[in-house]
Amino acid sequence: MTSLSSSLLLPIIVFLPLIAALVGFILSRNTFQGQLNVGFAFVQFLIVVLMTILFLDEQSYQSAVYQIGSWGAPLGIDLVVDGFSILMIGLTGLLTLILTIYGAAYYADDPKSLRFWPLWWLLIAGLNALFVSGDAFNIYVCLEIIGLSAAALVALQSTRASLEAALRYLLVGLLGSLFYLMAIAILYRSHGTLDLAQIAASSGNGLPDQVAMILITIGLLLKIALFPLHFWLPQAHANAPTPVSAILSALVVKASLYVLIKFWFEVLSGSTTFGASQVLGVLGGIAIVYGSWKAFRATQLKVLIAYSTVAQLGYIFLLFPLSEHAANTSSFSGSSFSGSSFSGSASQAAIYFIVAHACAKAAMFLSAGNLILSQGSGDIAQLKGIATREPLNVLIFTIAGVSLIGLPPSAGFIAKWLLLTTSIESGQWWWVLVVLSGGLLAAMYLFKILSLAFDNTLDDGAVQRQPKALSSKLLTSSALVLALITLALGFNAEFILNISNPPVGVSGI
Amino acid sequence: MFNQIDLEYNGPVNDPKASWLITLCSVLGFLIVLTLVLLNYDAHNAGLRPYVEGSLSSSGVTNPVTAVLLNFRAYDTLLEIAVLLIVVIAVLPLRNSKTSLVRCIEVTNHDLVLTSLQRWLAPAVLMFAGYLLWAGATQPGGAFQAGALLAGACVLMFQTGVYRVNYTSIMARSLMACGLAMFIAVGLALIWFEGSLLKYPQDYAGVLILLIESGATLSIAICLASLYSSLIDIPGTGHAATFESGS
Repeated sequence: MTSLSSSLLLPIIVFLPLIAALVGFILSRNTFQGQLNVGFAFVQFLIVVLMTILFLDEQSYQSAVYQIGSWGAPLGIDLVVDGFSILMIGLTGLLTLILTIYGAAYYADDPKSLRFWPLWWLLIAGLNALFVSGDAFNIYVCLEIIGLSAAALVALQSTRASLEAALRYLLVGLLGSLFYLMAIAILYRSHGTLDLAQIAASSGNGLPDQVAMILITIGLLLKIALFPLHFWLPQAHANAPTPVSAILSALVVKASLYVLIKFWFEVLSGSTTFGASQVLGVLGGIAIVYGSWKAFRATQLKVLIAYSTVAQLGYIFLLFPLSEHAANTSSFSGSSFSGSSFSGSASQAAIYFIVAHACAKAAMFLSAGNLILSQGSGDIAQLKGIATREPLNVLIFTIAGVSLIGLPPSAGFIAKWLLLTTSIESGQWWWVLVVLSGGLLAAMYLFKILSLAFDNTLDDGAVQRQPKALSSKLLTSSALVLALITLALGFNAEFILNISNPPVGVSGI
Repeated sequence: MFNQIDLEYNGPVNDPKASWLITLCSVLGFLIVLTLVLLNYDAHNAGLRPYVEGSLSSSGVTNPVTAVLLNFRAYDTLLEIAVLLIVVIAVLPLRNSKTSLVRCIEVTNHDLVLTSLQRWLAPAVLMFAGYLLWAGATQPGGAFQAGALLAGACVLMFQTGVYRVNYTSIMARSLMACGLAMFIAVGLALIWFEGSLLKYPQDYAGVLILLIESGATLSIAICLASLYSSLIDIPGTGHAATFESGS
């Protein structure tokens, strides 16, 4: 207690958003509501920065543990932070700050803000709690918080389409959670503990472990929306309010992905097989092509971006076949919990992809929201010539698009470069074709938007509608900051890779 | 929000045979998987029971379920109470009303049976809820059961349509939040006094657990009652009027 360490801050980043939610819920609507919430987000961001600095400084890349109630692992619940989770926490802190500023401007004079802020902070609390959780059942509770608050936030739009999408999102999320819960019951029966580290220490290649891994994978794939299970995502993400769309695509699907990666590579790594990883990779590849094609055919701007999320998630699933191969060749013992199994170049690519996609997709949703606010319609056809009226928002959209396509200099370029080199090194050259064609398809659907936006020909008066009010400066500038971060990540790749992947671990392999 | 849904489905009616086949296949598959797991199950593990029994004496309560829920794994329970709050916020109306928590409406035709049932049963239910809360320390019981019973008493009181609750008043919102707020306050205070989150001092553990459970009982009761009111809309009894907007 005398010296400050990063593990002591772990409960704070869960409780601060909870307190913010309670304050927002009890305090009625008032004039300083926006400033209050931005203040909370800023404090959270400072704590996260402090925590990251402390973690990098003190821990020499070991995981830090906080025992709640001093009971210790099998009886109580441990909060654990390692390189991957500190990166996700940092990402959450940063995006929360920017999206809260955006949300404060977006909901400035709206009675819906009364319900928006408590749900928003509960969602953030769920995300933070998930990333620091070291307990299998606690992860289930966190998934419940995230799923329920996300569905409620989608329903906040109160249109018929958003209510239908929210209901479907809720039911799919619950189904996924039930699969996960079933797996946890099996794991508890065969291991006698719920602590992830202890399950990992005693896990082998037994049948219960394999069945649990299958159930966890199915349940979480439902929540992540990998290709055949993506049916709920486009409607839910497209019909949500703009800041909610951004956080759903940037962080909420990544939260389930985080759990899947944790189980697949750390907790139950003994029961994963090369065949299963190839199946995930193939599904990811189909998702890239199918999602890009549906995005190209979309007629609504936010539906296009949502299908682009389906495609981009496919890239991250290439991690599974690529790192399975790396694990086989480097004679790596599969059941250690040190996290060294998740530190190959494939996982570097996946982590970088998660960060790059989160920033780029959030920026894209925000700029699209601004364009829709300005144009008064979400139709792509209505965007004709909008670049003259909203040049800055089109620029933001373009920067985010460049990152999604994977052109230099952007975070997306580094991510794809890492992915390509990994697939060539591991000898699985067929993934190179998938990645390259995915980039071309992404260019197709994004340049479709851009060519419309820069088209100034006035062919008929019906397309050029009455210009609405220009989007506010705060909305535009918060989107711009995100776009600039996307660019900056392209120049500072080492920073991200060093946080998530200990140099010690890499040299150890 | 969710209570506004009225979905119409005009598509083709599902083929009942196909639905049956799908259900049968999935159930059979699931059972086979379960059987395989159970066959392979090596029963040398007693789970966490020995750990719980070993630490029960220092947990402040003697009922192992309460000890797990509110001491050993109190963090999970705290987050579950947050889940309940999310659900309630999701179904609350969008505008906050300024009227008071409970209002009485003059009803012309009194239902004698219902009114006397309320007079006799509601206080007894209230008493029993208090007992369940208190008994949770030693026997099966506790906040969730007591809260559910209180909510039942509220539902009984709603039946005549005399009482109308405004769930968006500041009082109602404070009651809904008080369970989570109390939990967080105790948890954070214990960081200050004991040096760790939710680490109860052994002498005061029982009292603190009862304090947390009391707050949780009130929140659970009003949350369940609001869920009931938002889902039930009996014409003539004025339940829809509980959602009058403040404007």
